Amino acid sequence: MNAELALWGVLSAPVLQAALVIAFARPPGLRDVIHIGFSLFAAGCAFYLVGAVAKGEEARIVLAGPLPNVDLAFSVEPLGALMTAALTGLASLHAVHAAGVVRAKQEKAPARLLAFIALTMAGVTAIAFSANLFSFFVAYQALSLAAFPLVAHRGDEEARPAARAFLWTLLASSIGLFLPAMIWTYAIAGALDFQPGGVLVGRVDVVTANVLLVLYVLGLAMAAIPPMHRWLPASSNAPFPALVAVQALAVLPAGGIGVLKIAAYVFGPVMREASIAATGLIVLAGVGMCVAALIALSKRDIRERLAYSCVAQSLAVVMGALLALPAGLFAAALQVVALACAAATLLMAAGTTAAITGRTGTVDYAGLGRVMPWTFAGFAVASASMIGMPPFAGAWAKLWLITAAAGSGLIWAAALAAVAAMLTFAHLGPLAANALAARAPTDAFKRPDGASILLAAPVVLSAAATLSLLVLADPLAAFLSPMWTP
Amino acid sequence: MLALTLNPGFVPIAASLLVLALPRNLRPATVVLSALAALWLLLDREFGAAAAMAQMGLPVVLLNLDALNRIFGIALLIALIAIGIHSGGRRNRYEDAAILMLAGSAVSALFVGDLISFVAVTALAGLAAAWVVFASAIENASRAGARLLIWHGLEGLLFLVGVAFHLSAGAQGSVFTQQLDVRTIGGAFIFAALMIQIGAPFAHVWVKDAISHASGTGGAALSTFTTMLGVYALARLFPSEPMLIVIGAAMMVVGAFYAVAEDDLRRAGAYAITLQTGLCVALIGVGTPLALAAAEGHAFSGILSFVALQLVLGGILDRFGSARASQLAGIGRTMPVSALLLIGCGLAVSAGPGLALYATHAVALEATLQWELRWLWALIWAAPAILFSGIALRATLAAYAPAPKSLPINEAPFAMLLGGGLALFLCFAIGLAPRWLYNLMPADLMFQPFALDRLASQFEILGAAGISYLLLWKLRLAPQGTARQLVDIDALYRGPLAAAGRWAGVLALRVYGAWQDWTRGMSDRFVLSLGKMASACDRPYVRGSAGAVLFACLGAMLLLMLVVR
Repeated sequence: MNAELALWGVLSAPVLQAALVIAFARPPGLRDVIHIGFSLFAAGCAFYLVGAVAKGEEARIVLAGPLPNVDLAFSVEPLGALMTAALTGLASLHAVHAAGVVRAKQEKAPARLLAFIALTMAGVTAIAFSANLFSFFVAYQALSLAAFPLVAHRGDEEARPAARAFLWTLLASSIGLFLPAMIWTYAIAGALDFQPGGVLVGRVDVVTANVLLVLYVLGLAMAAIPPMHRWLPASSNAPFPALVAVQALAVLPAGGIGVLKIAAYVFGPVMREASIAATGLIVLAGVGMCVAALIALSKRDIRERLAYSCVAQSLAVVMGALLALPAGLFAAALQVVALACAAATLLMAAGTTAAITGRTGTVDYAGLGRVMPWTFAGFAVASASMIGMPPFAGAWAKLWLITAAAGSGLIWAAALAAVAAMLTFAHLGPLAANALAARAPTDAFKRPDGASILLAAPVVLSAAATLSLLVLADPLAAFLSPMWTP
Repeated sequence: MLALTLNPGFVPIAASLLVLALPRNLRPATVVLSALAALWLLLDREFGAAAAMAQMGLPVVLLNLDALNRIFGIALLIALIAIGIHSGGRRNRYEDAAILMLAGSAVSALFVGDLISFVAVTALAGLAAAWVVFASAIENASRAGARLLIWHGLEGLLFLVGVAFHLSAGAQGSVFTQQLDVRTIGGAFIFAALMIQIGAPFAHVWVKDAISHASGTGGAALSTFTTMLGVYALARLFPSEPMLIVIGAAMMVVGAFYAVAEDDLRRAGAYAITLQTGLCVALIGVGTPLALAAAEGHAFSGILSFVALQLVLGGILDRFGSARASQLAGIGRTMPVSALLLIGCGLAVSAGPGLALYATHAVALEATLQWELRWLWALIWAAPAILFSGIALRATLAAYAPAPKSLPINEAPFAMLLGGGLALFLCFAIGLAPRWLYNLMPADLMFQPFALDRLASQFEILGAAGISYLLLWKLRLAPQGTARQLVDIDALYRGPLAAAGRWAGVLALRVYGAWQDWTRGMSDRFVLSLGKMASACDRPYVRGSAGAVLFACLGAMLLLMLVVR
């Protein structure tokens, strides 16, 4: 296998997976085997690509050339390889969990649900490996459209307006803000390629740089920067497997990857000229983080609470990327990985709980850790990571984020990040502690046999993944360094 | 050799995973052996940094041995031996693992050489401490564990933020051997985190809450491996910080008050730890070489004395079911050995002459013998008297009070007696021959604790305190063994503050709802007017300005793009 073949594999496997899952919807066993098998295959390809990048190999796929200098192309680079490896790795755990949840909850149209989950993974992979802004835009639209049926899956009175709000926010912002910015960039630079050091370098003045930055960042609604964050809470009514795909593995990380790519590969050193807009957006992200964490505190439904918690965490990515220092970009990259691990674990644990006990209210979580120790051990570890408690993954991302913010003289931004961490602690810490500590409810399970291995094992494994950055952070810094050293 | 460069604390951490799988009779031996192995690793090494590597471009020094952390390490590991023996008297696999994890991470935290590793292992110690409480079978232990988890979570976050600020101030700033300044942002956050760790006033409640809800063995482990780690970090990072004198003195006052007033002797012991920790903190604040040496020595003997007290009380709790002074009547008859040990431990924590705390208490008095610190000197001078009457005499009077009905002898399990007895024996051994301890201290100390003036003064104050307490007791002015519930600062945040928080939450929710309604209304109106404008544009034969305005806007935008390019 060479790198190009692996790139073909990781991009096309989820699409093929979706088609096969629909085609072999029955028997469920075959459907689930296809779903899990292809997810594992995609993860294998992604990990192979990480190794290939580390060895200095290159791979590029060109599908079409619609404009001079602009191809619909996908290429392998460190950021994309790392993100894809993390996300597809978690997605293969989630594939097992989703198979468990659709069985336990007897979800309607399970094949459709699994197929669109696979398509969102194809979308985020394409975003991560997109070679230029045009390919990124195409993949972004495809991801929005693939995620829409997931949010609308239930098709009831609540799901339809939520799905409309979801699609409207994502498409309107990307077409209304991102597309003009992209065309403007093409007009200025004559190219749209993602390149370390930035495609705009030496080509823009201060006003253009500031306006472009605002258009790009607000246009990337998937990064959940206010006021473009509405889609995320709106999606929280979807079934749990869809929720994991939307909030942890595909849509939200895609926003983070997008902001990172824009900051590192489009702007690069030009970010210094866009400092007014960057500062304004950092204020927005910082205040947004705190407010989102505060709103999460008020939410009584675990899905809504986690949705706002994810908003707060995603804004940390935006803040890190906008700091435009190597430390900031590194923090943002770590934060994307840490958020994906923690959010996937939390949502899968909540999914397991909902499937087995039928509980989704935070008040009803008290004592459940006594009867579901593995699931809630995972939940507690992921909460600690989300909060930023050492030695879990989130802590190192937060450490670097605050270091980068304070290092660039933005003490207040560092303080906002710290306050957001405290507020995250307030809305997740007592919840996890209470779940482990309180007296066990007597009638916890809907079924006497509790959670199956399909539901518990992925939670534990992805929680264990949050410890990975403890040993991997140093190699990752070296691995990602081409991002900020052109 | 690889084994020699291992951080001693990693041995108990590894053992904690092992004991989860071991049968009951092998577990105490494993605890003791891991402590002995760690001691061997510690004593077999020369001073200096080792096992350094890089993590994310920052130095990670997993082992850095010097005189300061050696003295703390020896004390903690000796205490772990006593706790290990004591743990043989009861059956609790998870608690054994949690205690080993707590001890291992606390000892690791002593010997790591950089702030990032320190934060990581301290956080691990916090989680393990909560696990110790969770593993207890005492009523409401899980709620206390959750509260402890919240305190330690807050502390971990403060640490993390502090280290991040500290790193941003200077790239090489993560090395643990340099002093920090509390006036920098990073320093202030780290200082605040350490205030939680030592149980400074307002944060002191977690100490008694955790210890009183842990089992007997667990309580001893918590009293050993938590606050003293904070004392070590303060001695390392903030020596001679004047603020520490005031904080330490406040801790002494709070600890003294509650140690005397609290009915539950395990809680009283926890408050007494706050008192003695405060003494160490104040000495670190004084910051002279003698004061620093006194703080470290006092922490050493404090660890041994309080582990002895908590172990003996743990044995009584295990067999008698309670360690409340108001309910102990008659245990002098039913648990004669435990009662004797309890008297010894009471003397040990109140710095009775010939016991370990006396040897270091005398140094502490000498270190604060300055005119401007006379109030602190007086406080330190009075501390043993308060603990003598509040713990030693009260426990003795309660234990030998006539029981309402005669009960058969029902002594604590032998392993528990042995563990407590060993710790007490060490207190006596060090107290009678303190030269060994003085040699361990970082400063060169030529000191005679048994000089007549020092000895006489200590006897005088203990005697005076004892006689006045007995008089008050006879006159029925001292507490007469009635059970009562004391209110501490945690009653505030569990009661009114929690209610206020709920109210604020409801209010914020209302405000947020109103804001959402408003924005929804605004956006609806905006979309409506947009639609009106669009339909206005769609009537080409009707005179109107909307179309012209739209075209003008588009033109202006195109012009702007051309000009900017």
